Amino acid sequence: MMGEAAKKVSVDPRTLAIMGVASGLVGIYASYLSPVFAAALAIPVMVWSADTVRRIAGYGLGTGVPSIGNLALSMGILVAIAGLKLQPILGVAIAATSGLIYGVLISRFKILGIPSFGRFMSELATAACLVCMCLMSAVAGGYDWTVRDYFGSRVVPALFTTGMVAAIFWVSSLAAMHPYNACLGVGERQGRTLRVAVVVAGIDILIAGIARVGYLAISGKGQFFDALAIIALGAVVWIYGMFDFLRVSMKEAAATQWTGIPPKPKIP
Amino acid sequence: MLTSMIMALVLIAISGVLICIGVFLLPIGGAPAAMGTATGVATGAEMMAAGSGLTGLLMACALYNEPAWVVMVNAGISSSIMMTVLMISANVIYMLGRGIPPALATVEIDPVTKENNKPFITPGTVGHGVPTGGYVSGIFGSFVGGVGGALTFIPMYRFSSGIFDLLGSLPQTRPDLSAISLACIAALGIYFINANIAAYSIKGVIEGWWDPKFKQIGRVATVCFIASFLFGIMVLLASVPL
Repeated sequence: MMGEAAKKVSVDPRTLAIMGVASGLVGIYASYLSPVFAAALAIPVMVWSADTVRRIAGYGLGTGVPSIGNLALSMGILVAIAGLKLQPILGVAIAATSGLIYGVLISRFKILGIPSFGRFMSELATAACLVCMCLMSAVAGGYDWTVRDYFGSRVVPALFTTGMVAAIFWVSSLAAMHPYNACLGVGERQGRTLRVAVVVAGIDILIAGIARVGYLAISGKGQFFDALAIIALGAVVWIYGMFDFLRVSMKEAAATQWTGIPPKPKIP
Repeated sequence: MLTSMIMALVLIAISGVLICIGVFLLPIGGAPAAMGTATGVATGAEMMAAGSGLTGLLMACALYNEPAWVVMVNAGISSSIMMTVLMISANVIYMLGRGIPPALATVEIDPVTKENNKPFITPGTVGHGVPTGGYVSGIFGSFVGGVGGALTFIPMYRFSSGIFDLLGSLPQTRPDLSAISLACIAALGIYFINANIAAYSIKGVIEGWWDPKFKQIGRVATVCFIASFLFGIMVLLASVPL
């Protein structure tokens, strides 16, 4: 199943990985200027994580695709907390190393027979860690390296005291697992799966914006401008991605017929 | 402080082993059980483990200032209650809704009731429903899993609210909300990491302690011990104020 699919991909996995790491790191550090950057530059990282899940789950896991998304985000959020506490770039290095050790452990003890599982888990943990750090710093109002104890003074009140971290955890997990889980089957193609990843990325950014509005409203700080900008960005990405996905699906389908509900079809 | 940190790391590694044993004891059916062709509850290993583990974590949060053994036992009991309700509702749907008798496939005689299962198995399937043996095994499994979840929660909560006493009761009268959510997320992470190792090794379907797949438990528990130790360092980094 995977051998065929690995040969004809529209985007090379290595390109996606380089793009994901670069844009995630730039997003976190650029969120010093505005949290919108962290939210916007998290999109390529989510696409990368969805592509990695696609490559792993193509071998067949035996427990369903959602398990690998939750596993990735469990590793990611633990490392992301440590990363925001120390330094994001150090967090990425820890994520890559610990993911590699975890994957090598699983393949050495013959629990799963997937070739180069260590590399896959390393990529997955790095992507999950970057997504978590981007969305968490977007909710907390941008990563600020000048503040001493940034994690304790900004991230904890924004995400942990309000409980928004649960929402961030599950939506990031959804971004990793949902695209391949929704698209898998005989006619699965990388381009279409990654278009679903863009759709889910839009939903994620929207929810991060809602979480920021909630934090600002609870803490009584006002200044909703950047939160509303994040929500608008998320909505635009979601709607654009959805229509793009529908256009491609209808082009590749053998035949489509409108069911009559809603009455007037207006899909380009 | 250093001794309590090392002790916490060992406790987290032991909790990984307990979670692994818990997943091995649950009657997990996976996708085949949804069609009534495998013994167990019709959902994935990881989701069942997460459901019972999260119930235990909620109980651990409610008992934040009690001694450690009270937290662990209550977390285990609440996980067991959740799992018994889940298994009995699955059985009600199987028996009353679809007319399927519960039966085990890997053994002829039920290990608990000593009844013969052979006449009830439909040809071409590997058992159906949750029989008494699977039920008892599931109760034990969820108890062990809940204790494992609470074992991760306790050091994480205490360290992030600045207390380095691991076992005794706490002087707090109000919960430290940010420490509770930090500890919950970290315990959830450790839970998923170990539950997934066990789920991959059983390939998604297991009946209980009599299943042939149960023999791999030593190897899998070793992996869980090392992996929890590795990510326990991350948990300590996240919880200890630097």
